[in-house]
Amino acid sequence: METYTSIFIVSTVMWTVLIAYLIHIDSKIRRL
Amino acid sequence: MEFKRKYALVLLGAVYIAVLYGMYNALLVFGPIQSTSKPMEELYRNVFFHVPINAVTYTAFTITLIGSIMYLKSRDLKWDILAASAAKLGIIFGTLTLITGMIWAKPAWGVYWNWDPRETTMLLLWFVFAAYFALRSSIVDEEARARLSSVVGIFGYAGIPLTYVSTTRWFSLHPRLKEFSLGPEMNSILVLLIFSILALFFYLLWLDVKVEKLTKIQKGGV
Repeated sequence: METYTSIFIVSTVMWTVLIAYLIHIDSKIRRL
Repeated sequence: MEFKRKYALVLLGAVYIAVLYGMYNALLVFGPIQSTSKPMEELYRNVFFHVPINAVTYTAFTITLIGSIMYLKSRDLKWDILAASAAKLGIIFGTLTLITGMIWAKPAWGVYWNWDPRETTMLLLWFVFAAYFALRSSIVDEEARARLSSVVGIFGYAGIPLTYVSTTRWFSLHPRLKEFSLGPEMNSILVLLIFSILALFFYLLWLDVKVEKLTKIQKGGV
């Protein structure tokens, strides 16, 4: 179970960073 | 293709929450399943990641096919931009399909790569679309680039049915969904993840097409 918890935490962090980055790119493009 | 920023943000937020919920269920809620293959009892969890990513790969190359056909019919460069953007995302998601497959193959088969028909045909598809971009970067003239890459985009699509039938036509160790029963709860999470990742793909496609069009305007094109 510990392995799955670690995978979940790492995946959640990566997923959050990806979505935050997309929102950042999105806002930059819309300003053009 | 224009849609309001607030809708895009709502879509991204919904996709973010849906994928988190799906991952939470796949990794922490669901228990082992009944399977004739012992390793699959736990390793089935990869289905929730591998299958949605692969569904997007197939969708992306299908859009490249449509964009390529439409370009050859209309000679309108907007279709070429769509085809190339979809192929770009197809390559990215195709790489992720191969990586998630390899991560699963190590504990299931003992090796990361064993030239299984499904792996080989998927790699072949990946190379065809890598060649698509090699071709695009080697032609300066816009019309010629669009015309020739459309032909590759159409013929390259043959790789999709080939990967699809690879597990039935040849001897393959790749599991098929009908070989193990996930049950209604797991199936609904799988469907949720497929639609969420597809929504993310369409958002990325829209974003990339927009960037490509802006780049074209900056260069003094269309």
